[in-house]
Amino acid sequence: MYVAAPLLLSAFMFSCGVYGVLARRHGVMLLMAVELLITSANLNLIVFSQLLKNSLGNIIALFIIAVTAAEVGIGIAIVMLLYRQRSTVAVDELHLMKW
Amino acid sequence: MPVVQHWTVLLPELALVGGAIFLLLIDAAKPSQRGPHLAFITLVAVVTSGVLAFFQWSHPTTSALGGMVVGDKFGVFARFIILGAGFLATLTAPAYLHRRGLDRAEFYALLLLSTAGMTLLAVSSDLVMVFITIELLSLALYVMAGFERGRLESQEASMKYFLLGAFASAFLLYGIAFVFGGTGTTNLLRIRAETSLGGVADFRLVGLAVALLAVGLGFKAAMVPFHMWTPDAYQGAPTPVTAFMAGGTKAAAFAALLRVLVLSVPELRWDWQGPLAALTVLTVVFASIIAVSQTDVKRMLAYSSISHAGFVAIAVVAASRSGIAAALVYLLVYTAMTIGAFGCVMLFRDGDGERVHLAKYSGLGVRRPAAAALFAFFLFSLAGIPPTGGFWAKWYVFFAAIRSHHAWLAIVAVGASVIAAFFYVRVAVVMFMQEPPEGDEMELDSSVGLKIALALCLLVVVAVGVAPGFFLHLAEKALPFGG
Repeated sequence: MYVAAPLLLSAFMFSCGVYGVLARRHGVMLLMAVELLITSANLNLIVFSQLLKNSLGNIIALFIIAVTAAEVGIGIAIVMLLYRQRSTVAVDELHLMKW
Repeated sequence: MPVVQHWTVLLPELALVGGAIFLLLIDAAKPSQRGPHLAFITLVAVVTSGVLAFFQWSHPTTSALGGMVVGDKFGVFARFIILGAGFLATLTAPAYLHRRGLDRAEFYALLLLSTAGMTLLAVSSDLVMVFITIELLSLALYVMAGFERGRLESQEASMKYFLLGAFASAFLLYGIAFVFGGTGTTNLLRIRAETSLGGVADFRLVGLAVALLAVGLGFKAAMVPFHMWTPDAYQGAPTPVTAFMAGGTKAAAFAALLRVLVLSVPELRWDWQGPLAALTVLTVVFASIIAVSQTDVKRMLAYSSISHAGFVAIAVVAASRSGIAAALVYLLVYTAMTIGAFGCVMLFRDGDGERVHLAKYSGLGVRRPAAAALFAFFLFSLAGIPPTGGFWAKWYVFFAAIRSHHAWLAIVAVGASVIAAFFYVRVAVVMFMQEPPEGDEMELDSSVGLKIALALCLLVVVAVGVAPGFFLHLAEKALPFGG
């Protein structure tokens, strides 16, 4: 099986996610960037699963999807909490504590 | 030799989760109840879990869930440290939460779930289990950090902790994917077999994977440069949560780091020892220097906890039997003295809040000599000044580093601890050598739970200070890792 293309795609997605987390300032966009990171790991797992003819990778991907759903639920809740108190979700407004 | 499989390995965690579910059920039956009985139920669950874990000490190594969880002595020792952190945090919490109107059942349920995640992480023998337990402990902690919903600092702590924590989990996952790609398995022992002579591992993938896993776990253990969330999360979170995070998470993260690096990829030792040593130096030096400029005591203690992560990592770099034993003793003492120090911050009330600014500590030793002396004792122990447990913990770590030919690491760390001693001693100087301000009576918190917790912390730090050999012997008996 030709695996270079999906692995490169996942590496590209991971890089986009890292850039998104570091550069974006919008709370919801940050959550989406984190999702992108996790999805790229899932893609890797599925590709390796096909390559090695070992279904363990697919099973792990399913576990990860379930756990990530819980994680994003909490993330959205925190963003909502911030929005209620400050009427903004920009994370660079979060500077009460420094150094 | 195949290890016996038996579900009883999970009994301590079942007790914790059972306690959490019970708390949620009684909250559902009688909504919005408050009071010390919630903390009492939590304590019962933690003690039950501890007793169940204790029985595993004398048993031969057993595994459960198809080899995903292993009940070995190392796991029991690490679980005891984590359960201790949970127990102490629960003792300190009720009075603090009550003053802020937050003493609800969810808090204790989350604390128990997070403790269960930490203890499971300490006994995980599979990378999938490592990921799921890290998520379990973190998800509960994100919510707990933001539990003081009305206070902006608490929200900010929660948001920053969440973002960087999720970021770190993604690195961990990417690493797990590459481990799977390189070895075809995620079980730590099978990874070891595949990376040994005669294995089929693809070392390029495994090397990359180990680096990514170290980044993910380094975030949780708060090592520089993955520490950015720590000062904010520790400063903003409610103080009992901070104490719990500082003690429990670090112990669990290092237990996992030791298992992953020393148990599963010892063959790649020459590849990971160098970078980890560099991170260690960066951690102890950077954290000590930044801590000097802090004026917020909680934030200063956060930087102190970062520098302590560096000291434990020295023992991981040593990767020897004495190194792992030293790491266990260090985590034990560190948990007691850090929770003790945060407990003292809770003890010094300032109206309804707590004294966090260093200037507010001036003259505390004149008005409240006993409490200030206790705080000073914990700070001296954190600094590693001789008669305390903190000194012996550092001593064993340095000794292990020298024995495994990393003497330079020990020398750098000694230098950093001299810098670190400055900011610990400064707090003592402010407390004892400055005049108290007029009209500030410096009331102490009168809660019994907090006093018991402080007494227990003091007991552990003094016990290790008096009989360090006993604890080291115990930690050595906990080795090697079971399969």
